[in-house]
Amino acid sequence: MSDESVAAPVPVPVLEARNLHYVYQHEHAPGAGKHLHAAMDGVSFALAAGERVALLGANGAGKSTLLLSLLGLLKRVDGEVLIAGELLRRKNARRLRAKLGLLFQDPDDQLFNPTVFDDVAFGPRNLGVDGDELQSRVRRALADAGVSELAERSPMRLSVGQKKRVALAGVLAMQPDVLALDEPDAALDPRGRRELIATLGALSPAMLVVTHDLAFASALCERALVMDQGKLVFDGEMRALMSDEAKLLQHGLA
Amino acid sequence: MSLHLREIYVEGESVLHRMDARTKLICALALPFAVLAMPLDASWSYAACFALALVAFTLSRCHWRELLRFAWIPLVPLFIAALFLPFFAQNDASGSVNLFGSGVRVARQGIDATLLLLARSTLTVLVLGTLALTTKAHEIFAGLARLGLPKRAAQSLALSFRLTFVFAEETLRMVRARDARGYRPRFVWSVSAIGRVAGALFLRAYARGERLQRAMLARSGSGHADMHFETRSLSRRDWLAMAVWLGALVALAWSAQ
Repeated sequence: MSDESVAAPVPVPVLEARNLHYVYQHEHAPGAGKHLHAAMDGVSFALAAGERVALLGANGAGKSTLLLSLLGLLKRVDGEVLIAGELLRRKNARRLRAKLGLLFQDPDDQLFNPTVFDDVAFGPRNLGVDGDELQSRVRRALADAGVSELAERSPMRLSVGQKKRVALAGVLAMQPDVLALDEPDAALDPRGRRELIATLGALSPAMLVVTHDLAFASALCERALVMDQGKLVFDGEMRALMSDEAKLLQHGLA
Repeated sequence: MSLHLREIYVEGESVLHRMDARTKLICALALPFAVLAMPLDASWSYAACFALALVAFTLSRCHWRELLRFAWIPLVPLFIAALFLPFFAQNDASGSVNLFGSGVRVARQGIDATLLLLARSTLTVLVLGTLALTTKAHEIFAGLARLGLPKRAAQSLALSFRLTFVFAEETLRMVRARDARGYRPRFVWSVSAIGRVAGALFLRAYARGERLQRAMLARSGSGHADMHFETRSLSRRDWLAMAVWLGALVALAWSAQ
């Protein structure tokens, strides 16, 4: 990290990233050689149980790449990811992914089952959950996301806000220790945002929330991570970041 | 054009809406096969099939407008093809007919082929339309899986159906964005823009597929569309409906010989 850090000691990390590096290769023209772009350059941080952290940064800062790396969904990532203290490897990835729920930015990427119920049940079924426990998990997740009445609807007939909530229910049904949310507030109107803040604020898992909306981040998170050009340049209190206008401008946040 | 594309299915509480998808699939697919066995001479058997199909449609309590909203799509090209058949059929022993006294003679065999095509295609669209109006798409795919279609094939069909709507909406957005920037296809070379839209759509579809697979992996999936189709047994009412329908079709096809 290049800037000063005011991070509090993390007692029991439910999620830990150690020195993550990832490089994208582009070839602008045939024969022009490969252009290397570091999407993550030595990113390290840890999340304690129940902690809510905003992951901020301008477009292309590497936030989405970081989220995908935390679940082992990108190949050729250097560094280590520990979920609930266990090192993420290929052979335990399927099991550990149940502990880290990733909400995708576009809900249409996530919702592919014929009914809302089936989509929310997709994750638990992959974990071998069925019968009454499956029913109860799905009902609880739908209730937590505030969409119980949509259970039998087709995802394709929902509004963007409803789709986002159903996608969130699909993640909650996995009963994760950590939620990684990729711009959950994108394309929501002000009322949708307020409702989402209330919904997320009532949830118990730790959260890593990617957003461009500082007001949304402030309302939900007490801690902020700021990425710029693949580097983690700030790890500290959300309030401290909000009061530092120079830093906000420097990293394209304001 | 609405960005909110609709399924053919219409919400309802009719006896057909409540029937198991397997029963409706078997009954709907049996009728086109039965009429294939009926010669044109036995016109009464076609009339009886129409009566059966109309009873089924009436039981669905759907409106004709709902049926015609999509039925014209397969019927119009079929009807156009049928109208041309008499002019291309060879004269044979069955002779020729003076068309409406105009002096234009067409083969009787061609007119028979036209009538057969019109009757069979209309019947098929009517029963399959009734099936689609009263059965949710995912129930049709689940029904196919329960009838023995390999699960992976049923899952692929269901996923393709879902993505068809996503891509159709994506295409509409691209077309609107293109038109908003003054695109009007007035000249032949303007058509190249359609190719560019198709190319962009292909790339987007590829990226969407990649993101979809990641979303499946993120929820501990295998990366395949592992959809769940519940097993359930047919009710007595379903068995009875199937027996009556299939019995009537077999009797009609047999009598028409």
